[in-house]
Amino acid sequence: MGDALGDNQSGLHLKTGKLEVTASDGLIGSFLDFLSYIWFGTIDRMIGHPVFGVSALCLLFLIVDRIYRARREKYALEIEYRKWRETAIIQKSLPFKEIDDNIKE
Amino acid sequence: MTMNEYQILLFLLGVASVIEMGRRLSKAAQPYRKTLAEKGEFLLSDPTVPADIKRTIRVFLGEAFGGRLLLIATCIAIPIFAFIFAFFPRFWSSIADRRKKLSGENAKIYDEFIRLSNIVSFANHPIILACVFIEIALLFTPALIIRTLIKGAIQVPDNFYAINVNLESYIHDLLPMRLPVRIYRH
Repeated sequence: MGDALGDNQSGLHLKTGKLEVTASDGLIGSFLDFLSYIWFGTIDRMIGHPVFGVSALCLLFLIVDRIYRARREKYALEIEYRKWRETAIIQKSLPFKEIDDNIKE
Repeated sequence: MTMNEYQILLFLLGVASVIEMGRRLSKAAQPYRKTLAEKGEFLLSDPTVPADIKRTIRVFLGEAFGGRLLLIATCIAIPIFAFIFAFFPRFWSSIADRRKKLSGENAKIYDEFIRLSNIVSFANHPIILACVFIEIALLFTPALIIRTLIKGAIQVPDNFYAINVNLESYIHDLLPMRLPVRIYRH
């Protein structure tokens, strides 16, 4: 099996076992090269090195999980903040000492 | 360019760490956001507080979960403001001396509001805020020296600690398109 993308392109170079990025013309070309390098390179190594593959998959799962959790928590915090502001608008002035105590806790 | 397995794993681990750091910082800043809202709304409800200060307060209350664009715009504009600070002190006063318009008790609350808004900005965008402070330290120090040489006396503004907040507020007024007001549905 030869290189999936040809000898002079980024990505799989199964003959040599190395991953290369070749310079393309223009910014977009370089960026696409970089993406293909990351994508095909990672898949290539996952096949060749199962320990690395499992670790990379776990980390990818961790990243997705953290992003999802961060977005969900941020939404909840925004709603809480909004409600707090509305309460402050209604009551106009609340005892600041009570709030400062909450921060210290 | 060749990356080995360890570098790829380190890259992924770094991405996960940055996301987790942001999540924890955002959560830790929530009590400060609440206090910010309390003090901001208190000042907004006071009829003696000038309109431009109220506008500043509304900007920072609205940006309690964002403010990235404002911080980046401030980062870009700081060299211009350092030049103004050095050579045009009267114009600078109109930008930065808003606090003088407040009475004693309201001034204290406004100071606390500024402190809290800095904490919240730090939690939202720690790296960009650090860049803003580093830029202020690097550019306003020579500007202060130039101003001292011209005037013959050291003239540090009273509210020098709140310089980034004043600049952000002023830049927000200058922006052709105001930042969108967040609407929450619950």
